[in-house]
Amino acid sequence: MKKQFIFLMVLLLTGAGAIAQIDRSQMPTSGPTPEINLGKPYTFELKNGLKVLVVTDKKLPTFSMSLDLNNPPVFEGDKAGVQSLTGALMGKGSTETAKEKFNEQVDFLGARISVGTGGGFAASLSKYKNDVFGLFAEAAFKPNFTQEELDFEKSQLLEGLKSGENSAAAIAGKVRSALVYGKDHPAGEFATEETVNNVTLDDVKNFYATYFKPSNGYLIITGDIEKKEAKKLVKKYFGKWEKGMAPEPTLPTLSDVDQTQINLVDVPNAVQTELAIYSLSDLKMSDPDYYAALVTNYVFGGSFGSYLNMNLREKNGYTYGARSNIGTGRNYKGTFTASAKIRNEVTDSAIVETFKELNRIRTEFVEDEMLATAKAKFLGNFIMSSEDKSVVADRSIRIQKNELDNDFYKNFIANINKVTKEDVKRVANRFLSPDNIRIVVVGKAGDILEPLEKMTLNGQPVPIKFYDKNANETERPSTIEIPAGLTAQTVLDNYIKAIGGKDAVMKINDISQFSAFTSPMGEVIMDTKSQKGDNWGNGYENGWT
Amino acid sequence: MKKIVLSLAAAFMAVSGFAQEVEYVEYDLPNGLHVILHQENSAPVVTTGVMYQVGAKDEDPGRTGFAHFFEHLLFEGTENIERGKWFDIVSANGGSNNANTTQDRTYYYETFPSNNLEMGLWMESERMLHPKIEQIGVDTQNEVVKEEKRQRIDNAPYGAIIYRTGIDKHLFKTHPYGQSVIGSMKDLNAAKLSEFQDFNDKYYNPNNATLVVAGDINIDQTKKMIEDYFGPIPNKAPRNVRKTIVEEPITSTRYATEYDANIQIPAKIFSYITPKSIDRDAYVLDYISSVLTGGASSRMQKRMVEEEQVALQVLAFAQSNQDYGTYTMGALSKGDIPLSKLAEVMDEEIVKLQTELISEREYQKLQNQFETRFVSSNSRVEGIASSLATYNMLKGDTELINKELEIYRGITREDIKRVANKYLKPNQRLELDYLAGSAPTEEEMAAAADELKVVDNKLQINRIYFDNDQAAITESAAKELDRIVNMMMKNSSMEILAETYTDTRGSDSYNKTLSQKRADAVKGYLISKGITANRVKAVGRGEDNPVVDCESKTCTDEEYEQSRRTEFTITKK
Repeated sequence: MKKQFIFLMVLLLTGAGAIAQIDRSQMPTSGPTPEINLGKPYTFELKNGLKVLVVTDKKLPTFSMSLDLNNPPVFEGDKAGVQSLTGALMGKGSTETAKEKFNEQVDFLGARISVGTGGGFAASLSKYKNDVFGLFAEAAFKPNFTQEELDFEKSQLLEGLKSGENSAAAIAGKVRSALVYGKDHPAGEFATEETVNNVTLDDVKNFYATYFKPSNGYLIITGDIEKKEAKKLVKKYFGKWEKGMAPEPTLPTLSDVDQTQINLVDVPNAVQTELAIYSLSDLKMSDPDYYAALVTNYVFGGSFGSYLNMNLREKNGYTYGARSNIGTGRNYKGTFTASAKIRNEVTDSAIVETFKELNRIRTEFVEDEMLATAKAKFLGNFIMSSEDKSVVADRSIRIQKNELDNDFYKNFIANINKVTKEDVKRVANRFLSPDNIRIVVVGKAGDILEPLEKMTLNGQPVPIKFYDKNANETERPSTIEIPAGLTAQTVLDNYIKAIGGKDAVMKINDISQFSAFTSPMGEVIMDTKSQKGDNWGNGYENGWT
Repeated sequence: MKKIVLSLAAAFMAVSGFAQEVEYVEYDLPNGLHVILHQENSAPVVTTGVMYQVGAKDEDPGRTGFAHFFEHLLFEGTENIERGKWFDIVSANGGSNNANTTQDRTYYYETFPSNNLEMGLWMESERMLHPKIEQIGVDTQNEVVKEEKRQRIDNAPYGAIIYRTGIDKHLFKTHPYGQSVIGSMKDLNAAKLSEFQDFNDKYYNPNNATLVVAGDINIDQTKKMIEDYFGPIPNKAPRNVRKTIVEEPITSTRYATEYDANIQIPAKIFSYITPKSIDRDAYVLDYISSVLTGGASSRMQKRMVEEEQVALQVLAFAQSNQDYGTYTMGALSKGDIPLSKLAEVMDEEIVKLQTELISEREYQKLQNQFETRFVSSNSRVEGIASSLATYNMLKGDTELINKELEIYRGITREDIKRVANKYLKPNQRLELDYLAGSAPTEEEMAAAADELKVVDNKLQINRIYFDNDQAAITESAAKELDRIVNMMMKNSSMEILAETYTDTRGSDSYNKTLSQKRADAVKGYLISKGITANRVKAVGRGEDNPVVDCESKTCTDEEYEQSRRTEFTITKK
């Protein structure tokens, strides 16, 4: 008691007398770099080839399991959507338990269980781990594929496709990869109404039978669970899974555009332009330049303080944020990409500034301070990621998948620290070439197209190709402005006036319309007849949707 | 002095309990800064955060968006941190940082490897002591915030629902919760530099803030550093004491339409004003949300998405703030399902909650779901730091970080039924049609209002009389209805709701039937004049909402007659 009182007094006295003994004009110095000792995951392999990694962490009374089948990419072609439909049907009950009951059991435990074509994930309070293992295995190995469920999931998928039709971000997401990889590549294809409708129940069953195989896969188990217990549960629920591997596809070769060009998709309602630049990158994690590429990207556009973000956001206020990435490939090439959502009026300026920064990193040495910051940031991220204990399992899997040296992560920081400014410049020249870049612009052509047509890079105008929302090449969209004061209502009013006024229109009892026009999907002929009492209002109303 | 001793003493009452409890100490500095420390040495990571008791609701009229804008400004630089270097310093020390603004508070934080704890304290104390607020920063951030608004709301599908810019303005007419946090660009453009400086002096003081440090720390050393960095910071104004602003409860249904050019699929939304976050009923509403949409087996998900397949997606969430909460539920229609169908099903689900207890099994499910959610929320120190500050500042009790689960556990099935009855009445809500496309222009609206006055979406027409016990349209009624026909002809997308009321004489059920007949007669008349049936919804309300209360006093015939009426509301423009 007395001791505590003295302690209190001391605190109070120091408190009262604390006239800053610190010099706040000087930035504090860092303490010694903390040691991280994450240890190794407990690892074993089942007879069917599934590799299991267990990381026990008892901070919280929860556990999770994550199954990664490590399948190669799949080209779905005229049945694009079969993969996601198969995935959607999985995890919804089993041949033993009806969907409704299964869902209820999962929710009842407060658990999360999801199973798809590439693996699955489950998490819950650790006291329910036995049940969760059981439910996960049931969903994964006894899927219930029925026509009724397929029809339902198809209708959901189709509505989902429809829901993104007007969103610039959704369109950009789809069109970008289609243009870069091509629609004949697994990474470039996307589902459409037609391809979704092509998928049959047999397709779904075949897909599952072909691709849901354990022999390339990994299962990570982390949290409040002992090794022994995990092993017992894994053997019980995954031990009977028959071995097998998914087939390797032959993939089309990829190539960059032969000259830098703009690919524009007109989205008339967009209030911001979705801007992205792309070129292919042959970087792999095992490449000796991997570390230098990470640092180079950090400097160019991988961070808040990067060339790109400082220019586009902080200096010019064109955007809320701009970022870049130099991707690594395993099965096929990754991409170098930079993207931002840009104010319509400055879309051309943002492109010009982006290319300025590309030029800068290729011709100028990065400042020492920036280089040091980048290295510190990688160190910091490395330390902070240790908060999640399962990171050791993820790293171990990444080493195996990418055929990396076993000490890859042990030496990671040392290798980052070895990167020099000469390396950054050299690597920028290797991966960040401005000569064959695809500039994908998704936005309102009325606002952005004419400035883009006048824009020059290195004194040269940039060719522009036009695409529709499904990445098909198309005509140049019109940029004619609608005169002020002209609205649908005034057009309608003037039209009604022209045909004899409102009273005359009110007397009309039937209407027939005939129209023919060409659309990207082909020629459309419409012949509509309607009578008073039909939904006349709808034609106009639908004009907005 | 005494106060300090007391709060220090409080700090020594060690909070202990079972393993997963979050232990912490808390105390006040003499300048009023509230400090919360949480030590957890399992990973070398530390988060330093400061929460200020100032949010969008503190903005002056005509300056919406100010608090959030100010948050951006406070990253520009300080006396000792050069302009534009804030993020560099954080990165150069391996950290990450951010800030966010809500109606009630503004929160800033840095997360560093734990050897840089002092860096975090230095930076946050710099921000509190002497930030540089200059015109150049205002100009830059102005552009950035505009883009943030475009990105998050204007260009984002359903942005006005997610960020509530299309909901709260219809719910709150007095309380500043009706204004959005992002605010208006016009207001921000009009703000002068001196206003930003005044805002800083008024709100960014130690007596108006909670400092939290969570992670791999030593408590005594951290206290010493906090004393050094934050102890000498003076207050430039008293603590922000807020006036209570009362929002009158909604007593008759509000109808509104919002347009979103980024979407294709319309949504029907119900939104209600609910109690403030510390009210136990606010917790009950979290349970109700979960009953309706928490998981694949939840009621709305199961019925609307899976079984009847009327909705592509369903949503329900309770959001509780310091002064009021809101409860919002809704659905995206699937295929050609009209929004009125979604409303009907949602109403049935609400009535079910109001009239039947949820099953024992459902109740147990809720308890399990909330236990999981609660336990998982403390997985990282960054989250723990933010929770500690929030519980302390907005709920007035830091210990809720360990106790809140008990509140949830204490909720009974009867509570759920009671709360559904108390807060989820149809006349207490906003019914929002969230439509694809662009809103009608002002000219179109003006033209529509030209002939018939519209107040709060109600058409102002002369009274439509029905003969006693009759449902036929009289000649004088026809004249009034013709005005409505004209308006609807002119505005071809307009839809209306006709609600017919009787007086309180006669039996309830008889009056209900009579009023429905009259409503149908009104609808029939409009259809006969060329209005399509789906543009008119006719509802007989019986004796509901009498204009004059004739139950507690004797009414004259004239007074009874005032209740015999038909109200027309525009449900879609």
